[in-house]
Amino acid sequence: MSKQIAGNLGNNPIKSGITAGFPIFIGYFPAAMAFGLIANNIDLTLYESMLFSMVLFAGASQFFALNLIASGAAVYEIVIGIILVNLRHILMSASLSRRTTAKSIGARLMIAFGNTDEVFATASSSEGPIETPYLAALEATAWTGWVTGTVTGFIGGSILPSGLQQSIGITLYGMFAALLVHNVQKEYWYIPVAAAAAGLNTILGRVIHMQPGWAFAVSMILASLIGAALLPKVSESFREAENEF
Amino acid sequence: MSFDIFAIILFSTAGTYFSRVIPFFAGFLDRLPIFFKRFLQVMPVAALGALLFPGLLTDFSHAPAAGLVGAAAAAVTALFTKNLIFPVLASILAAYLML
Repeated sequence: MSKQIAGNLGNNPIKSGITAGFPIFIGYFPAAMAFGLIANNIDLTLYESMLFSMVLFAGASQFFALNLIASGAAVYEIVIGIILVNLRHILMSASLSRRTTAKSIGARLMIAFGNTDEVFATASSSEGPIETPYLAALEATAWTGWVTGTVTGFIGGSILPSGLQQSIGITLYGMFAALLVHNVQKEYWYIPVAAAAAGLNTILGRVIHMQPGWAFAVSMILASLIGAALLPKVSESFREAENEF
Repeated sequence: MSFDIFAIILFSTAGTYFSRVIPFFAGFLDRLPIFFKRFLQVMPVAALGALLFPGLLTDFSHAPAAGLVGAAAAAVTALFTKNLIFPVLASILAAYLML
């Protein structure tokens, strides 16, 4: 991540926010295309897919949602799963809230909305206090990539040849496998955590026959507790939050 | 729009936004115990493990090899690119060739 001055040296902060957000736009667009493609494949409508991306705006958890919807999990199970996956944003917002210049309630409510993993990483890599117009422009750029990618992927999914349509069921798992590889590349000790969750979910769902949503939530929490208890450190991306007390 | 999908979007958005906004108003949240930070940090990874298995094996019970090969193709592709669309395309192609 390049060191950028957060628009606080008299430059136009909106312009520098858009510039800093552009790499996120480029990264989000194809990921959101994959989301739109899969959403289409499990028979969500275009408007449902768009609404997901416009208001939830939380990458991985939207893919989790599609998986649980496709598996027929109950609404409350799906909602609990998504909220658990997104709890980590507390760490990122806690860190961001100490760097931001936003004083008014309205400004805080606004910049909190777009605080995704990538926005946080980019904003945190800048020097000094983070101006609200800069952060808002950064978030808006990322958000635009996510939403337009979703629509593009959804429409693209409709025009695929029917032979390919059949094999699209695999895309969701391809996405999970790719996300896991990217996480493990950052921290190798994530491997036993993921393996523990996979093993627990298989046992709870297949052997004990727990409801799929509950098996998922319980195995995720247990594996995370094991990981938190046994594994070495808080990672690079959260280090700032760790260092400041 | 189906009511269930709308309810899922509404409540999960509310919960997710709560996680994002509450630290801007509650200063004590930047002094969470280190154990709790690690717990929050590993949670998405644990979720990925639980999402891959056993679903990857059971969703493709008619052709389990296609599922495994498709996911493996995505995993290998992901080693070489941060972009997510290429692993997804690789998995479609691999599964297409196996089916």
